[in-house]
Amino acid sequence: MKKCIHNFNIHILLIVIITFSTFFGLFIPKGHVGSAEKITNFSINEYLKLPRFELNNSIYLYYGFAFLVVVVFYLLPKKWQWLWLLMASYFFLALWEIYFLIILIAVTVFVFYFGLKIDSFKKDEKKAKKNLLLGLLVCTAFIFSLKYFPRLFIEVKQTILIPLGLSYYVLQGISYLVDVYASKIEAEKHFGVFAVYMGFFPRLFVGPIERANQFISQIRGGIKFDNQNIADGTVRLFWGLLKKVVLVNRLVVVYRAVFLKSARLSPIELWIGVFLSGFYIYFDFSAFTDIAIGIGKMLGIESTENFYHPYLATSITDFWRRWHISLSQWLRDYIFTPLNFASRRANAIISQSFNIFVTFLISGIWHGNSAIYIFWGGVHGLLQSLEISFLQLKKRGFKRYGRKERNYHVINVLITYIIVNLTWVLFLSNSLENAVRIYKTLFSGGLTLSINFILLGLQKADFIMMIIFITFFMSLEILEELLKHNILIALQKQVLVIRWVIYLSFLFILIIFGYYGANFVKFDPIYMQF
Amino acid sequence: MDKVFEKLTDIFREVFDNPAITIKPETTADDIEEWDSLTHMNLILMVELKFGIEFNQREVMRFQNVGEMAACIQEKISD
Repeated sequence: MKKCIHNFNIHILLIVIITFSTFFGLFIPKGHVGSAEKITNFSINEYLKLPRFELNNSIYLYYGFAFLVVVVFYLLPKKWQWLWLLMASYFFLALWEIYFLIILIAVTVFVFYFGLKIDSFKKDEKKAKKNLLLGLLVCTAFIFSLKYFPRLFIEVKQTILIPLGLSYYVLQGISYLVDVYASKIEAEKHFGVFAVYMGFFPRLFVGPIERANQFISQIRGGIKFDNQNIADGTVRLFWGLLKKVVLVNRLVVVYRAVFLKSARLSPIELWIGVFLSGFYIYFDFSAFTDIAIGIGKMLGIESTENFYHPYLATSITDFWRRWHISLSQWLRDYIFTPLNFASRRANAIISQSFNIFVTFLISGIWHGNSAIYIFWGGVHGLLQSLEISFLQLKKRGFKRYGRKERNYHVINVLITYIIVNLTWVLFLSNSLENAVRIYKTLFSGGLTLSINFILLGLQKADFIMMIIFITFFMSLEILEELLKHNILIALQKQVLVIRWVIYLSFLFILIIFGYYGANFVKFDPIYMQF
Repeated sequence: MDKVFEKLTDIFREVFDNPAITIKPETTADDIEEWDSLTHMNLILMVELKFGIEFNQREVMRFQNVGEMAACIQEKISD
């Protein structure tokens, strides 16, 4: 009898959660897209007359906050460090929207609870699996009702207040539950430490998506102060800031001209605009990732790298090993490999091609709550399916004819680079019609060679500046790729004098060449929408 | 256990088409160039066929290195 009631309770609870979150999702605050810059102009914090960290606030305020967190962190005894990080993260999130914090806490509590339940049924496979499925269902319910479901009911012109970091910490929660189920890790018994893993503030914006044991094992025992961490972390942080202020702030203008303002551009101008938008999304995403990793490093915490010269990839498959690496690894471990395992007895080429297609459809869904993202994901999935099939056939072909693989490296990189940028058109257009319009213009074959920079939004001087910085950053990447060394690490190994000359010149570049137009203080990374 | 390792070495060499491969308990996918998410399943399948065993999803997710895979195999064949 007791067991029945227990099961009954769980199911009732779940029905309540799903119903609640669905209705809540329907009624969550919506705003109108007044200007292209704002995600929403409705704020619960404003409504409740609470203080609010505006999207418009300076990125320097965020830095100030981060520095304060770091300073106090090392002043505290090791056993309270986690508490400080938790308080700082929750305080930060509450300043954005108190509603964001409520959702984070709710998801954290559920995942923590189900982790313990799964662990308690180590010997009982059935019960463990049931709790895993329930936990996964709750995670999916949260992300579905708060991110996707409302979209089905509101007009395209409206936006919804998606909790900051939801997409990232839900994935972390899912990875945690599966890892506990597979006995890769023990369920975390310390709620506070687990809560820091889920809501660590630098990761709320663009990730990276960390694994539980990787992060928790670092902070559990407390972290000792080490000069080098502060130095490395600060350098990383300012590297990200440099990218943002001198390059991203200019690139965003071009991106807006091409995708948001539907400027009348000639084919040549549009090609340039598309490639520059490709750089925009990369430098924007990687700059904010640098900042997140930098802050972590200052706190003595290592994070997974999210990028490894993505535009030097030799195939789409290779591209995804270099772009948003933490997501690719998540997809590989929790979607692709399980699918592969389930289909391992079927024909390898067919099943793996299908599985990679499905995996990237899911990736597309995760990226955005409209059809164009799913389409984008599907295209990447399809391209990789073709690569897998082609690769298998090529392997067999080479064996048969005894040929050695010639080095087509540079051509592969160029082809991949062009294809990736063409697919970004789908990703960055807010509708299929816009994307098709852009593709039509790109391939319309107009031969006007004159380029009107003003149409791309920038003054000529800024345009040239932007090209110079792209060349600068990409040259460093090519150098890193060829020498297999990391530039920032190599920098740290130099003599004091050389290091400081470089730091000061970066500061100089930041101040003199930074783009301080209307968007200077915008704290609005494109990947924050996800 | 040595027998398991011997047989595993042969399997690795066959699946990855590289007669020079050697494996140790600490070996992971990072150590072998041909071992990626695509070839991983070929390996699992071959192990199942050659040892006459069957893994489940939970077990396969657990292996962190070759040593753990070998231990799991050992357990299954001595059942």
